[in-house]
Amino acid sequence: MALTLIFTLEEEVYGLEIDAIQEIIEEPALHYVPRAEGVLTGAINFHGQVLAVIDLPTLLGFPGRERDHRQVVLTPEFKSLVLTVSNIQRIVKLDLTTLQPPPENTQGRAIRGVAELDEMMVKLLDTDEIINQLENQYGE
Amino acid sequence: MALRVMVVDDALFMRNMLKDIFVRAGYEVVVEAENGEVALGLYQEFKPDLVTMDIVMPKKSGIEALQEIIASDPDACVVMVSALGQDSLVLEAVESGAKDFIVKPFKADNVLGIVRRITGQA
Amino acid sequence: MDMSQYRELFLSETREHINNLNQLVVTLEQEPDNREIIDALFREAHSIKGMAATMGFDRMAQLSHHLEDMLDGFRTTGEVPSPSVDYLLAGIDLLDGLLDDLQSNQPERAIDSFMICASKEELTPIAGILQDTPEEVQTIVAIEEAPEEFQTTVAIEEAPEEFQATVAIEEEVTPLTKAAPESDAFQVLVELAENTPAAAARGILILRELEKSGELMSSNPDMTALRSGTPCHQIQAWLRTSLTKIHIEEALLRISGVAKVRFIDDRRKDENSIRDEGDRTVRVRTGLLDQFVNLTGELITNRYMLNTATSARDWDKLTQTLSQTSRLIDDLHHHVLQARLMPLENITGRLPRIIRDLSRKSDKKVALRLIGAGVGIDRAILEELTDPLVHLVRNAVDHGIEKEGTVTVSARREKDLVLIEVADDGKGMNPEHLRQKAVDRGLMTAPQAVSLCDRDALMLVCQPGFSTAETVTETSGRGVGMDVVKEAVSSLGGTLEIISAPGQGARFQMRLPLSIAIIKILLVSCAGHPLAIPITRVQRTLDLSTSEIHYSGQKRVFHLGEEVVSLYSLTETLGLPEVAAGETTWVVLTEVHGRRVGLQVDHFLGQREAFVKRLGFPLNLLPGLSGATVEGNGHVVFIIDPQPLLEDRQLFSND
Repeated sequence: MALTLIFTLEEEVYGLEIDAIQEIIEEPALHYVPRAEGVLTGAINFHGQVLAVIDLPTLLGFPGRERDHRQVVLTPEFKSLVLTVSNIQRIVKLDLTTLQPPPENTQGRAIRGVAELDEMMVKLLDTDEIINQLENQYGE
Repeated sequence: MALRVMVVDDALFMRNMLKDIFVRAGYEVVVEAENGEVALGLYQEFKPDLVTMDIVMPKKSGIEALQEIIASDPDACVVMVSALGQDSLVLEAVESGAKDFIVKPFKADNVLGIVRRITGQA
Repeated sequence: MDMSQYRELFLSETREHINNLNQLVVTLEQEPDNREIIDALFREAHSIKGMAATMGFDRMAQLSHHLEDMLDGFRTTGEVPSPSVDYLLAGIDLLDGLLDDLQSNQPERAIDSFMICASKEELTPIAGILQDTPEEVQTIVAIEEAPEEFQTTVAIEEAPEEFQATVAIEEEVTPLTKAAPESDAFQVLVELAENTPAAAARGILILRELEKSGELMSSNPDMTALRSGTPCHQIQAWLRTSLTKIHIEEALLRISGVAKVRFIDDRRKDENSIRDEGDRTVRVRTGLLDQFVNLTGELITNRYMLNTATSARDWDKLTQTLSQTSRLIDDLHHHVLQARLMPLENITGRLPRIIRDLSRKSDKKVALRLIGAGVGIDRAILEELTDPLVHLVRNAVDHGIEKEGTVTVSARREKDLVLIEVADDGKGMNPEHLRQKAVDRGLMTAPQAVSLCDRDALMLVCQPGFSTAETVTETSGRGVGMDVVKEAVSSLGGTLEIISAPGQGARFQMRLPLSIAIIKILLVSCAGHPLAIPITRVQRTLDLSTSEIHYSGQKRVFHLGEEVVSLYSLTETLGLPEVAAGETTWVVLTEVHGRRVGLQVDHFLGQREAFVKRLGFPLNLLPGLSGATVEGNGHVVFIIDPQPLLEDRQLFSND
């Protein structure tokens, strides 16, 4: 069983494993990053470190308006990326052994797989893939 | 006035060599001694500005001679001459008041540098 | 025992030993019967062997063991036959290669062919019976070298101590009486020459000399330790004196056996530090660490004082404590930076060898002079500087010097900068020829070329694809690499200048910041966003009135003396909304590819020192961002590098 933070985006439920999370922070001041575009929306001062803020809804293909006032700081293993998410729900235990491959229509959207929870389908985020995508987008 | 030097060493070869170095540098070697005992008497008689003192010598060692010279003349300018590997003797000599030391084999520049430093001559 | 913690130290120390080997061999070539050099070479190889065996790097241990044996043979004969010099150098190169492998976590490269070639030549009488079949030879070599044997005997018997010795942190003393920072108390470090006889006695003489100069507060080793015969290689002492440091240094240097005198506690506030460098190792004197602890302690005290003063609303006390705090922070800053400074000699060590090889290859007689190799510079900068320096030295030999001459590498401090110059006394450079070449290569039109002043014409060699070498030599064509040098210097926040005239040699001057962690910045704003530009990137600032700005086609330009300078809007470059132009246009004059350009900003917010924060992923991938700094209010301000920014937007073209 893996502790997972779940949040909803439009009609869908997404999960992020707690192991990948360093901290959840409340409304940090967002600073301007010259030439930032796309999913990179700015930077925050996190205990003196300058960290990039990535807009997860945009990355997942839902550039809608709903955003949670809290942001998720990933662990250094995942570059301490700061993720803007939508509607954080709660932390649940997810049985990863029942993880199903991601549905066809989520190809290339950083989804590791789908797990079932109380008759809900939770799309588990693929943090490695998020980093890959950022590398591809900004790294030329 | 030229610096007046006394060279103390039991080996004639070493005495000549040091004498040569000093004379070429324009110093005056006023007297030589082949052991510590002789050196003591001659020091009182000549009152040289500088003494180079071998450590291991018959009759009276360089260190004993040094100690006695310093006892009578605390400002005496004595430079010890030692061979490699006599560190503890050199240490004793420096503690007893030797102003500096030269380790054999030495070069003329080396000797003169040490002498200039302790006599304060440029 | 887990050896991985010593890995970095091993890598850096071995690199030093290899540098020493290179230098020694070059000297040896001039004095083939100099026993001291042979001995020193032997010791270097021996050290590498011990460390490599301890770390379990078998091939490096085997190779250095082999070189050590060979050198030991020369010690017996007292002479090194000249063919062996090349062989030694090849061996050192191979060691260097092995170290590269280890550094990049690759398996050690093969050394068999080198060892076989060794056995075939003068080194072993057994050579005569060797066949060319590698397998056979390998067996014999293996027996000869008996790796198991030295693994056990060498590695265990001698290597650990030696390695320990390198790991041991230099002891240092803290003052018994605490010196007020403003007083004339400072720490002096006296280093003895290697193998100084009767070192303890020498130490006593040094302490006596110090006692004559002032009040000797404490020392390590102290008089008692020296009297008991404690051997010493260096003496650290706290001294309070009214004499100048120069005076004291002179007096100490006159003592026979004193190799070097350094003053540690210089309260200058100019050196700086830190950049991207993973987990590197630096050796830090424990004394410096003690000072950190002391300063931290004082800062903690200060914090309580601030708390008290705040709750008591005692403004005088508050002001006073704040100024104390800022003094402590200055101090701390200074000491942190000290820990990162390394002398330039860390990278000049390779130069004698390079000069030697180049002289041979090009059949020229070239002498090398090194001046100021002791100048300290931040290690991160130093590492980036290695290749540019080698490039410049190569160019000097290949293109500057004709038949015979001297290459001088010198370094000196210029305020916040270090000036490193590579000069040759060769044929010099002709600006006229360079202008012509630039036109021939289609880099510019003839009128453009004519309009270049001589200084700018010389800088043409730094343009990519510019080469004036009539015949390209094996090592470099003129200009090959110069663009790389320029880029490297720029990326470190430095500048490159060339001074030359026909028949007058050439001087390539690199001016580099002492450190890159704390830099001076110019704060500007664009569309309400503050941005920082490193001062080293700013030639000057201008305020132009609307009438001074002209149009050349689509482009805006202005006149700066004789020169016509293009003007770009930073706001537009960043894709920010333009603010309606006022009467005055604020312009930062900077340089892109050796050409001056003006960068229009909305406002100047002032200059200040900034601690550069490294950028995390993916910010580090964005072109034109070289770091960020956090303002007093917690705001993040990004530091921009105009060149890549303009390049990326393709606003700048080589028309």
